[in-house]
Amino acid sequence: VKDVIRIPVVLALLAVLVAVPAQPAGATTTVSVEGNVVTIVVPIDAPNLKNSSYRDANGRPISGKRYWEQSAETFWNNAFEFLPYTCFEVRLDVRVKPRPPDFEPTDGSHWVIFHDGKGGEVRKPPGDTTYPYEQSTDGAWGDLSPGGIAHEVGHLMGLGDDYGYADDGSWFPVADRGHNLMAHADLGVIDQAVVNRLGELLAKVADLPECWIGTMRSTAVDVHILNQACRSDEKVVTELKLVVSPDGDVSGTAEAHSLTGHSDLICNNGQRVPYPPSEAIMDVEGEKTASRFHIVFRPQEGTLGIGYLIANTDPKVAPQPVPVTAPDRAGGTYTSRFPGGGWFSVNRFDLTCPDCVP
Amino acid sequence: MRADRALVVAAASLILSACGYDLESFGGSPEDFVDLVQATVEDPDAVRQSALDGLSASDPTARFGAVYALTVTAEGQESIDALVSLLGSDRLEERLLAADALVSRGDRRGIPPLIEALASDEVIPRLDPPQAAWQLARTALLQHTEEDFGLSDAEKPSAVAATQDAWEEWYREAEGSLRWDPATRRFVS
Repeated sequence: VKDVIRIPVVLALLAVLVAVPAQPAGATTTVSVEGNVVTIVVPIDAPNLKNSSYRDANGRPISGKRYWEQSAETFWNNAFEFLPYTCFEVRLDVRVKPRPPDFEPTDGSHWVIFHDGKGGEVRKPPGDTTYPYEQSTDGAWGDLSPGGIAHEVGHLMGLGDDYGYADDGSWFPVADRGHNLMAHADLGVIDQAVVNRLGELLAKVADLPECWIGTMRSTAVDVHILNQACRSDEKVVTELKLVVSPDGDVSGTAEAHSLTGHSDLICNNGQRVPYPPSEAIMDVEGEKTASRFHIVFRPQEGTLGIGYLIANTDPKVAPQPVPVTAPDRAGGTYTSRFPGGGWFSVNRFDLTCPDCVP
Repeated sequence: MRADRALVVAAASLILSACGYDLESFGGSPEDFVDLVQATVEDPDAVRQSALDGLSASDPTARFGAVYALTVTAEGQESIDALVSLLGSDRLEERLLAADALVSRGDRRGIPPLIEALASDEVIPRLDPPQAAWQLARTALLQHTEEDFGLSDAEKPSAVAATQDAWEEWYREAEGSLRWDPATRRFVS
């Protein structure tokens, strides 16, 4: 009798061993970094994906491959465009490869079997995890809406569900996350908190360059125009996001906003010359040494204002030197001067690099 | 091929071929869903039979597995009859999944529950990613009929619910003349 009992027990143990999730098996979801752009590539082998009956947002017929790729990329990239992670602009690139129904899993791609039912699932540990970056996983995706597709691809980027079902099957949100895409697909949104969670996963799996963030507070003063000594008391705050490559190249963005609402010049003869407030989106270039940043601003089109912009963004203006005061801090005051005379502003920098000190 | 995953696939295939798919092991986890769907592709006949047998399960999760498997594999009169029976279930997920499966197979008896669901913002239990009843109904009606009544432009629950009267009126008038076009997978009148 004991032997009769032992055999099923041994078989059951063998079944448990066989059913243990796959061990690490090569590159899967990957991350590449170029300047301040971080690109996530999600390769998916798609057995049983049919090409019929898919339509794009304009109702035109579209292949199943493009439907799934576009749905996820559009959803996520539209959000990433407005929601950076610290210094970094994130980009999603989904690569779906239709495969025959009996196609078996391989290294290097996730394996998602398609079907005609509802819903979708991805096999991964619960919660946010780097698992999909470390080994290929598998899933089953049915008839999903674009938001549903984006939700499932969110899992392949490592994000966990932000909801659960109670024993009676009723839906409940995880903490205060019930409004977002990982809780409610089409009714949810991708907000900054979701992007930050994703960014924290990216920081774990990729060698992200240094990110320095902070402000430059400027006062534009003592300008000369039309042979008159004039001054502008405009105050401007510039938000800086600077990426420093391993060899010290600096690239990034800066957004300047006037705190005073105008950049009028008030001249000694009593004349007031009206100018709009300084508003600018600028590219930043330069280099960083152990002791200093040297950065220049390159304004994009559509900038407004006068004193601040001439003093800081004219190509003749020398690079702004910003002393590095600690491994994770840089700051100081610098007077930026237009070499032709007259225009200058006093700039006070305050930059930090939260990830520069372990 | 990943050796460990291949081993799992081979073991699953062996079990399937030997004794059919066993839905009793379905526990509602993502792993269970993936294994279930894989089985529906590899051996739909075995899964369908297991699903029909599993509809009598008292455990709600096991029963949901059976309902889900049936909606993916339904074929033949016995399956259709079982789906029609599920339209009378007191569980939202069973009614709606059955209605959707019927409509996608050209059986118009699935249409009324979908129209009724247009006014429900209840989340369908156990489905991932979560979706409200009106979302499933909206997708199914637009996919499998030639009508619209403003539904394709309606994105908020109140706007979707506002189309319900027009859909009900349409179905009352068109029910007798609806026929299924297999080429477009839509009901035409």
